[in-house]
Amino acid sequence: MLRLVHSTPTPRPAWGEVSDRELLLAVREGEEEALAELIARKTKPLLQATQRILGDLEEARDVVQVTFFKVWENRRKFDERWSPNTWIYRIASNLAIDHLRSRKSRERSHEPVRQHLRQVADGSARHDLARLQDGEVAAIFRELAAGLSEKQRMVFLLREIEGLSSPEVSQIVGCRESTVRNHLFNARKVLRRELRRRYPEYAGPFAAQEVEA
Amino acid sequence: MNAAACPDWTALAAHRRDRDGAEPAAWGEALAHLDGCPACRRAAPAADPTLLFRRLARVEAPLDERAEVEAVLQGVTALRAARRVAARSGHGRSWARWAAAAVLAFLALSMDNEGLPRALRSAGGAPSLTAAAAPAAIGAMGRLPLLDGIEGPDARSNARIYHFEGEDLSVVMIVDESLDV
Repeated sequence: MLRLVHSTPTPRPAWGEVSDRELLLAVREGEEEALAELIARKTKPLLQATQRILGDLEEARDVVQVTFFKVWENRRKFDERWSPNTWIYRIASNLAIDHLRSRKSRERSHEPVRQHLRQVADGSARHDLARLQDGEVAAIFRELAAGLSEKQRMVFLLREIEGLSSPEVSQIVGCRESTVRNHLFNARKVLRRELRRRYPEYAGPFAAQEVEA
Repeated sequence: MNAAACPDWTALAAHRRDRDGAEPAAWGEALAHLDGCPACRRAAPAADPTLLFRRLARVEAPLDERAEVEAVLQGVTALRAARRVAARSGHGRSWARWAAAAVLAFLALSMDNEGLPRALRSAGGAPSLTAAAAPAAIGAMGRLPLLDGIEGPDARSNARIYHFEGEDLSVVMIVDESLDV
């Protein structure tokens, strides 16, 4: 029978002071406190990002919770050569895509958004994109993004809104950079076309320049 | 910002529209300029309306970060407990473990950022159940029936116990990361 007779406690790192990579390496070794620190660091940015993807805070909360659960479950698969953010975002993105797919058939009607914006526009002398409130921009995006595929929506948000590089986006979404560029090109095209079709008052001089799809 | 330094947004937009997803040269600098130049904030989306959506980065959901982190920690703990239960029940153990796994998973996915199950909130948002802090409630737990194979909380417990009383129904829910299932 093996019996432990003496042990010198290993000094515990102050998790708040270590890098994301070190934190994930500790998680890989099964350090639960490292997981807690990772959750403390990444919950807010992940919630904001997934909320933009899903357009729904409650669903974003579910996705973030399951993301960290999967980080823990798959911790031994983490390769220290990978960027911690890219790995975590990849897990979250895949979950968000699953949510979007399961939601498609029950997509809500966005007519009230349109009516509200019509009223705003009618009361305004100029139909000017710059005058729209941020919340209205978010509502328009939710409506128009329903016409994008899940990958197109994901690539557009990660590249154009979160400001990630093409290589990072290709790792997160799990496709080649050329495919990322294709998704981005098509997403912009759909958004421009739908903006012009549904909100011509905001499409401005661009409307005349757009080539028909 | 000097207007003379403003990028030609029409040309940049044409590049983005015509090329296969590739960014124009000096696109990063143009975006950095855009963020600090009121004139360009008007001109850029007029040239390419998709630039309007850059403002989504400023739209942040109002979050109580501490409560969100706490809810995620509890949720992950519950999901891990559910996974352990499900793994054990794969070896021919009691059906009650499956039930426990389902309950824990449900709790994990349905807790709001205050640690309360969303489904049990009243319409007005106020909790429709009572929540008791652990130390006082753990004593009472000793009298409650626990599922086969689940040990009660120990001294490290920070359990939350919810008691829902309805007509002909009394439900006790325990959320405790120290539960050994």
